[in-house]
Amino acid sequence: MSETLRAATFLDKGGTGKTTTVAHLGVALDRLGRDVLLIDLAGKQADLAKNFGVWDEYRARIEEEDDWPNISTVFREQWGRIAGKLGDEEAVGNMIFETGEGPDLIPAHPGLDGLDTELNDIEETERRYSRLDSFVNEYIEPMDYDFVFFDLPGSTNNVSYNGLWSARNVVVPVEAGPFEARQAGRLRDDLRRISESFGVDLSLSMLILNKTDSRTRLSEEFTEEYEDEYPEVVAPTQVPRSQAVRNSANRGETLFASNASTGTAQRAREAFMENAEELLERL
Amino acid sequence: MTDNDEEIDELREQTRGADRISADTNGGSGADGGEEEKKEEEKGEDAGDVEEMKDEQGEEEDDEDTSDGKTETEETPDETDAGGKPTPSDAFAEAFAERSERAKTGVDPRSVSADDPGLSAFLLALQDTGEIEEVGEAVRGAVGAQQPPEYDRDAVVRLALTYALSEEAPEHFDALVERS
Repeated sequence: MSETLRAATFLDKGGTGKTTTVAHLGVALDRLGRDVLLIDLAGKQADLAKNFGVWDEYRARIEEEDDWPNISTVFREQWGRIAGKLGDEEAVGNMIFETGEGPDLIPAHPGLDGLDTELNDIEETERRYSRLDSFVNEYIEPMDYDFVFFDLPGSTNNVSYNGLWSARNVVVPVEAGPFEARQAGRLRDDLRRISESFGVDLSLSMLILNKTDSRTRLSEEFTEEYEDEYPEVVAPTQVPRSQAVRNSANRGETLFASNASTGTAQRAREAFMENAEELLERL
Repeated sequence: MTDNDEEIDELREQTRGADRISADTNGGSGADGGEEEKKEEEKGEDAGDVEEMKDEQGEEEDDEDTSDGKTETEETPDETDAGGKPTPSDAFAEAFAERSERAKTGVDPRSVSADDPGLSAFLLALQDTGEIEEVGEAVRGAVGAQQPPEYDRDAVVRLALTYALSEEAPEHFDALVERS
């Protein structure tokens, strides 16, 4: 059994396209022949479930209280006992949805919302940050996925630390702007500090220039700056800003399932495919 | 119902309760009894620490009062407003620098949350009625902070704390701004 590759999208800022990136890279990886599991930790909105059109089904389960165990349960002290009693297949299998576009998905759950506070109560750092990693090691690894991709919250908290700790490889979608450039710089420093403090090897694996607009000089300037600053991690292909991405998400699908044929939609698809190939190379 | 079923139901209750509490109050405890007890103990210890700190602070204040020849009753709100804003001590500056490094690297958890039923209910009501954004934006405007990615309950608590510090403990607030 080969080891499952893992990565997480993360940046301490909302609206940079993390969820879109996970969804599209996930489908691209599937098209490259990999079995992919997406895990949404990005909060109660369950955006990945919406992005793949499984939200209605999932919401119905939540409303009918047929949503246990769920992704927030795996962070609980009792998780081992729960899995032991239910059996792995029932405990984990019920969390997983088929997206219809290839990857499987464990959607975010409202219970994630208050986990940060609960995890704060755990004094020992390793225990606080390793709960997700233990779950992935013990229950996901044996399922033989080739790639596990986490969508992390757009803020630094105990849940995102759990995701980083487990993924080890970070993919950062950024827009071309001064604020985003500073954020990316800080993230690189933070990852270095975390690695040194905890002895875990976290690396910035790919920085994807997202929502770029080739018509503007500003975008071009920042692109050059990113390439100078992060030559080893910038993704090979920029993802252009495309209304088709938003439209397809509203329909509950990615661009790969959409028949949008605009130039930006085509280029965005190609960009995700090329970046997925490169990501596999780098990991 | 078998023993196993009963145990599963019990575990479901414990962790579903935690899910609900987490989702509903952001105060998020509600794990099993043992953990609850442990948390209570920890809270108790924390509370003890706070009390101890308060006592120490009180002693310091008493000392200062004595040296100034003032009594507690002589302190009026006007005097406090006129120059009584708290000033960060050297120890605070040192502790803050150390904590900043630890929080940056995640050794210390980073979080601001409302662990108070009244405040939780208030924030939830703001969220239910969709007024959380308006209130958050108002506080953000008053303090001149950067717009958060989302106006959730934590964001509003953070902004409110920032506002209160900027108004009532400006020198501590300056230290925060410098470090941010």
